[in-house]
Amino acid sequence: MDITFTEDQERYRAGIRTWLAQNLPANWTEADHWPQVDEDAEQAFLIDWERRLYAAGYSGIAWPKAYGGQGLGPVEDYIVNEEIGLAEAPESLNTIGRELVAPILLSVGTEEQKLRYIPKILQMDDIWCQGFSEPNAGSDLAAIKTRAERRGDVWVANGQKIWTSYAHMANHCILLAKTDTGARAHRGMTLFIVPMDTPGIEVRGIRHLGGQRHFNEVFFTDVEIRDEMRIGEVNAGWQVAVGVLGFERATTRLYRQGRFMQELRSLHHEAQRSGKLTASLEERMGAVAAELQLLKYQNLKFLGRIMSGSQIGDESSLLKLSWSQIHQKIAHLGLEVLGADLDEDSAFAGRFRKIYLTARGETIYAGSSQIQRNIIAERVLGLPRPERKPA
Amino acid sequence: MNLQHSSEQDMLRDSLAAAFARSDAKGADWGPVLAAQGALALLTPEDLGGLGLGMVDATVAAVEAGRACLDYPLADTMLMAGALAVASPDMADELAEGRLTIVAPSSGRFGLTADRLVGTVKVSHPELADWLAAPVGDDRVALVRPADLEIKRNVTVDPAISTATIRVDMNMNLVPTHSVELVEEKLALLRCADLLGAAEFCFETGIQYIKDRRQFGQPIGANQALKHMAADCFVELENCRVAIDYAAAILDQAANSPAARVLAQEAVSVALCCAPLAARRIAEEAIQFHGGIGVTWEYPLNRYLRRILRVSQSMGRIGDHQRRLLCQVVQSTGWQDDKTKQARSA
Ligand SMILES: Cc1cc2nc3c(=O)[nH]c(=O)nc-3n(C[C@H](O)[C@H](O)[C@H](O)COP(=O)(O)OP(=O)(O)OC[C@H]3O[C@@H](n4cnc5c(N)ncnc54)[C@H](O)[C@@H]3O)c2cc1C
Repeated sequence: MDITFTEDQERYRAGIRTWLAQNLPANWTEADHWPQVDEDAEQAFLIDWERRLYAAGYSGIAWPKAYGGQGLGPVEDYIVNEEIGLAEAPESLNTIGRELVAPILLSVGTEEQKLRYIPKILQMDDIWCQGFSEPNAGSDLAAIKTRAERRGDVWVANGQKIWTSYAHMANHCILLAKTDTGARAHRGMTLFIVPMDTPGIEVRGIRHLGGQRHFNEVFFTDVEIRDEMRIGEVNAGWQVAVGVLGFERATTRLYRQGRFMQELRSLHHEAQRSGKLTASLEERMGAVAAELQLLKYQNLKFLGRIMSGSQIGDESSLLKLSWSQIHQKIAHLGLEVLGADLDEDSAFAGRFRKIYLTARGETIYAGSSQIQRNIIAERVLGLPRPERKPA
Repeated sequence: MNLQHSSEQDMLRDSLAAAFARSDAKGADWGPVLAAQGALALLTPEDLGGLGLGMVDATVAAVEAGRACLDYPLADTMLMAGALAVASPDMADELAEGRLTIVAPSSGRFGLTADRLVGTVKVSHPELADWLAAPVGDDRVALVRPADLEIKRNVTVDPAISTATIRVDMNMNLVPTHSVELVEEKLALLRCADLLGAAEFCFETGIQYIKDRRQFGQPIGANQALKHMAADCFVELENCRVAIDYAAAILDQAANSPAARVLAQEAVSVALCCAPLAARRIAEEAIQFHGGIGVTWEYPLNRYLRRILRVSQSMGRIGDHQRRLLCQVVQSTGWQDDKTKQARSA
């Protein structure tokens, strides 16, 4: 058991910390979370920010140098993400590219695909969206209806995706489509790379509960996809996506713990300032602080396992289940501290209105809390699947 | 960075589990049995005949004691043996052989004014105790003989283990314990580890039961209502585990610096916020999983639930731990640190 970082790792942490301190915009305060919704300005700022992070060597940390990464390890990746969270630096616009597409390509992509797409994710030349969910296939992704039929060297895709985050700003989509309609459950699906300017793609915006555009419907009508844009084997799309996701779930959301801790600190500060800090509120904030520390320890434990070469599997559902629920508790505390000031035109009120509303989706996407519990119960604890319909 | 037990620690766990399963010892007879396993000398320095191990190993042993519902104060004796071997080498031999049993207060505290020791504490296992070792002040331990003191037996919630209230008002010889930094935190953490062991037993018993028991033509564990309770218990159990491991690891480093000492106290607070509630919930859900059999006197869950109540009782108000942790977390330097702010505006 060793819970320390090496001197080199601590030096690396000091480096990113200093860089963040010097490079975040001078007026970037914890409360400065886009109180006014100007989505174009926000997008331009975020792209510029991520380019600067990359230019300084602080993205693609654990990806190979051959594809533009830094060639460092998971510990450095953890450190950078934790510091970004603690600094409450902007979150990425390209989470689909970073957390889903690049890891999938690194694990099963062809050499050409890796060389072509991964550097562009880092340079923010490509922004990705994820076309998995459909109107009748959300938790039950095996029920997708979007089909890709092979015609010689091209595949022709038809169908509708929904809840596609970032599709309105993305220039590429990772598409999950049925390629063998006869196959059972998860066995007949394939992943494709689809440029969003391909003829036959139509994007219609959906406004999120939080007010932003955020997600979309994406319609595919006779969209032609060259076979070289296929990711991994035909009909193995699900296995590829799930294999990568277990690992990613364990590693990519590490930064959230630090960010959430800062939210809690800011809540505490505001409650104190406004004279609303009762003993009971302190206890409930303390309970959340404990859960945040536990999340950090769990992150470190998973990190240690990755370092020692262990396979990370379904048990990483624990992390998704925990962070999404903890964030909703913080949001509830925010409502409580705001109380009658919920409609104040202040940075604090604006921030926690947004946190509360956005956090409602966090127990739904990337596998809802119910689905995470099913995974833990059935695949980690080995509880049986139902043999009959419920009485 | 590594938060997994070593293979030696796994072996320690397995050999203790085997010893607990093999022996039908009761009460004080456990002393020599545990001594033969080396369990009582885990924290005693090697040059004084002990194993010279740390808190991670000690929590491994305490988890097994909880899991086996052990009716002997292993944690107290082990921790104090490590402390006292240095201060009172004359006791070391008897301690190493398991011929002395030490209890530490489960709650309450003695105060030291001038040369008098005054106060009231509660203890478990009063009848086994050759010594009562009570932390007073910073990293010091007062050593008194319960036989000389006013002892009032309590109505214990845990019928396997008696409890008592001990009052003192006496002149005493204080035993300084240079070797036990953070003795109260260590004691608290070992109690958390006992809870974890008891919770592990309840969890595993409950999961096995819902796999085996059939109603409506299928295992009851196929029902999602029970699955989701089980998944939540799993998360709580894993959280308890990692909280204890993390705190134990940092306690082992705490002697190295004042900063590590603060972090160790914070980590122990996290364990205290987590373990009592998690253990109780896991035991309660395991009982719910069992239906009627779960609420019988004979079924083992009864003993474990009562153990969890007894051990938790000693750990102070959860709300106080939560408030202390909040304070620690809010104060610890994060981004809001002034120096960093200066760097940012520079
Ligand atoms: C903010 C946000 C962004 C998203 N971005 C994307 C994206 O970029 N790309 C993409 O492909 N998808 C995206 N999604 C879609 C997301 O993955 C789905 O919403 C999710 O998988 C749930 O599917 P659903 O909405 O169809 O709900 P359903 O699957 O219909 O679920 C409805 C409710 O039933 C519960 N439920 C369903 N099945 C079970 C079961 N077996 N046991 C117990 N309870 C069950 C669920 O937990 C939920 O509470 C996003 C969603 C949100 C909220």
